[in-house]
Amino acid sequence: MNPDNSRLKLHMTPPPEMQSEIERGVMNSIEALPAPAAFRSQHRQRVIIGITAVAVSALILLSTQIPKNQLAINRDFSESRIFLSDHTSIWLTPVQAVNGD
Amino acid sequence: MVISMSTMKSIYRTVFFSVLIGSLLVFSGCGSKSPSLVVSRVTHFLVQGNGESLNFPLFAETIGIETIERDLAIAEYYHKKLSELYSFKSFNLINSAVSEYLLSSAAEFNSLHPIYQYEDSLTSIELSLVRFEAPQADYSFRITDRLNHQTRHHQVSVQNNQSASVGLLFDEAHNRGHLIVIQLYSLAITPDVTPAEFAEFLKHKNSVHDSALEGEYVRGDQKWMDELFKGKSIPLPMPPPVPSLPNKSGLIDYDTPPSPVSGYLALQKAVQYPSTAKAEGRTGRVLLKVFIDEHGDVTEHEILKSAFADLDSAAIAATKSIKFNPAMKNDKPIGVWVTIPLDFKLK
Repeated sequence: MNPDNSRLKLHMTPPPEMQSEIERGVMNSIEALPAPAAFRSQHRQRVIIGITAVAVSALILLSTQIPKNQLAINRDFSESRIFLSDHTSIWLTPVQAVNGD
Repeated sequence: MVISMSTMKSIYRTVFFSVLIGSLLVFSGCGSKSPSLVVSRVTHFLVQGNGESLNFPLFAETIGIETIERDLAIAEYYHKKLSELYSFKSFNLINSAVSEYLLSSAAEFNSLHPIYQYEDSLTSIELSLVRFEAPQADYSFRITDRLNHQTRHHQVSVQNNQSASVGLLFDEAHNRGHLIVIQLYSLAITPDVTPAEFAEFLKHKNSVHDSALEGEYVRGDQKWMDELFKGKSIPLPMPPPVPSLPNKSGLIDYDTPPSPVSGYLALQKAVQYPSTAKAEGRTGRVLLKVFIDEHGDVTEHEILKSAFADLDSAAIAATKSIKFNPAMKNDKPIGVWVTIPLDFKLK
């Protein structure tokens, strides 16, 4: 194995200013080529699975949150609670009535 | 910013597996929870200023006598219990309802399940079960003031085998309001629960505190037993069916039930206590089945449950002496059969 192989490679690649117009054109078109088909399909599959999984978990989390959001409790009633041994008694009185308005 | 292919792969892998594990955890959480049978019983009173009375409504022909007797016993129990707490002591039973839900997934344990609905010209009330996590259920009240177009939400939690009542005045000038009692009975149907234990639970949910009424099975209990225990299901003894009054036209469907023109209180006041019964201290409850025709008059009657002959006669005379608003079907008055409970009590 030649230890100077890397240097040799460097030497084999001409500096850009030395590249001809045709060489630059060929290199540009090679770089512009899309990724191989196999990689593209695997990549797309992973993205779809990932997005689906994220969407499903988001839906599950949202569905468990819905009832909590629907319970916006109003504050314009005063609430008195009496606790008996097996019964809770709640009486709601309009705040205006409490204030004597 | 340039991200190499291997970095992208590892990011996707991490995201994919963490989401997958998260989803599995969520689903495994649901799966480990046993289904629960959640029974909510609602008793709705209209309460007002003075007096110490408990008045009953008319009951539809389609309700069995055992259901009527249970509703009356529950109303009596809560009248006694709550009249000690509140200054008003006149309770008018408006309605009662039972809802039974078998909740088996996290989504069902955290969803709105309708329990009870009521609507009149002043108020509408919607009661829903919003969350159940043994031993507690959370209920939401949606109360709409129809005159002022205002809607309010309130939440109340009830423990298993316990009850809660929510009261609200809608007419402060006359101290009139709604009082709604919710009772909760629930049982987790784990693999350890035997059909016999489940049968005991069904009987327990139908029982009434402080009442001579034995907990009996009702229609629908056998359905739960068969559904939940399939091959191991045991037959539940049902109370004997009450013979139905031979009715010329069969069951009559209506949109609005009949009601006494001057209110249910007027019906109870129309009862003339027979003097001999009063002197002898005889009390009791008469269950009358009456036909209220399209003009609002009682034209036929049958005694479903007798107290004493003279009390029965007084009950019949009272129902015939007052005028009713007839039942309505498609905005037309029609004649229907209803059951009227009338109490004879001495102070």
